[in-house]
Amino acid sequence: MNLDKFRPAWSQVKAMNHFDQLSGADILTIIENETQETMRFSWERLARYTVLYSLLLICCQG
Amino acid sequence: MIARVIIMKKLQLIGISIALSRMDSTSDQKKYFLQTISRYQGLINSVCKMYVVNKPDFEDMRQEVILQLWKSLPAFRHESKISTWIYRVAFNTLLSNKRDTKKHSNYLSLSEAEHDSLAVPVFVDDEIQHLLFVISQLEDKDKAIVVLYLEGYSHKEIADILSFTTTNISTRMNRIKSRLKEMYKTSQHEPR
Repeated sequence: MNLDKFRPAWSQVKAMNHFDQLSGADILTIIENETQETMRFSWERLARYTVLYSLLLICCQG
Repeated sequence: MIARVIIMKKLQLIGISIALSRMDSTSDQKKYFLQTISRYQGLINSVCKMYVVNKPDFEDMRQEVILQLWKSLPAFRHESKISTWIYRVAFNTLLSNKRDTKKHSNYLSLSEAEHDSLAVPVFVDDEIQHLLFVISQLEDKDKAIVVLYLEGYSHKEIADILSFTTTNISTRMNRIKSRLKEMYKTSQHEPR
């Protein structure tokens, strides 16, 4: 069976499903929680590195 | 003492500027992500619909795929086409999700399957109905292979996207083709 003949049909399926759109707000809601988690983690990491870097500077200056 | 205070102030400023630049890059990323998802929503929807039977499951799957795309966006280095990256993330998410679902042996009753079903509307083209029927008869991994083949990817590229070997893809493609041939023969002999 030749699958190639289904190529135009697959393009039509994609075009047909394009109308079932999620709004920008919906997408943002999906990713927002994840972003908040990542940001929280970044702040923690930033604080940790800042403390380490300051200690290093203080110690190296004698 | 004064030197230490100055150093601390400078460090604070560096910290703030890093945080601000991260916030800027995050909002740029969000904008880019929204545009990408809107542009490729047809692809994402089509792929998700191949693996589920009802609307709530479809919405969950689509949400999961979008979340995984967002998580993997920082690692995307634009070395491949965006559509290739979307296919890679979507199929890996869907296949691993299906594996997990099978582990919990989720048997769907007929009434559940019919509820909010994603059945193909009757007004669509015969060729589309035929394609969707063919895809629905395949195993999960084979569905992904067929879709990527229809998108024009070579066996090597399909293998790369799905983390299979090229030989494995070639073998599976031959098996799919002979299975579909059998199916086609049988359906031709069946009264309509």
